[in-house]
Amino acid sequence: MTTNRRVAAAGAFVTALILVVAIPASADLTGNCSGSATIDGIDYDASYDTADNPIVVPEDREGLRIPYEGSVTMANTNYLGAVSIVIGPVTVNVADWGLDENIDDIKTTEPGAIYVLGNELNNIVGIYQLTAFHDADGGDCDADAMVKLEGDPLSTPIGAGATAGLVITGAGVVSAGIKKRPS
Amino acid sequence: MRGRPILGVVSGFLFGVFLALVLQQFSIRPLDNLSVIGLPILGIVLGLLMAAWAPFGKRDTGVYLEKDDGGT
Repeated sequence: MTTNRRVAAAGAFVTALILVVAIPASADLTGNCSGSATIDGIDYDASYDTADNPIVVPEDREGLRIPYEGSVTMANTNYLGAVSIVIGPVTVNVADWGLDENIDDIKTTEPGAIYVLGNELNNIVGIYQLTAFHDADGGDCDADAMVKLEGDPLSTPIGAGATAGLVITGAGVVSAGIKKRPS
Repeated sequence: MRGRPILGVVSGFLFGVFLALVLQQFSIRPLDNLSVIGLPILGIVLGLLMAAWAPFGKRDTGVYLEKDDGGT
């Protein structure tokens, strides 16, 4: 293979990588629901749904107070909802609601509602795509959001392990390019 | 192939998996379909390309010396 062809092959690979990284996930809020939360002085709603424009949770987050509000414009009896993390083609449920509370037609959260973040997100960093749904007698709605948990990835077991694995397997890929000795 | 295709496939696949994880951990790209499925496939292709290309090691001249068996 000539040098030009080698450069072209390397360039094609880098271009493919950039395309994979650059294409943002598309998402939106559909249905008769709305909601927002204030984190670290910034108001977030469902428009924060791409990797370039995520909901940012600061590194110092234990004990963080998050005012939130939500409402629906439909009959909200017999409701059921859940929020999940997207991992490739599958989703992993992280929270759900409804089930035992399905007779009241409550359409809004209580005024001044605040969620206090505990230590449940300690040692978790990175960007996560969340998907949620809320179904009730009057209709349903779906929403996606992108959440960025700030912090040093190399200080977490997953981040450090993945980085080490990337280096080791990268060396493996390079080793695959070593000529075999003639038998 | 002049290189090591099996090593290329295995290490390329794992390279793609770890690359997806690193991108997610560094908040560059979430674990969506393109990352979780696309990058490992891209890694396998890269490993096979490296094995086919085999740019490292001694140059193959096509000339080999026969082992001297002492005339027996």
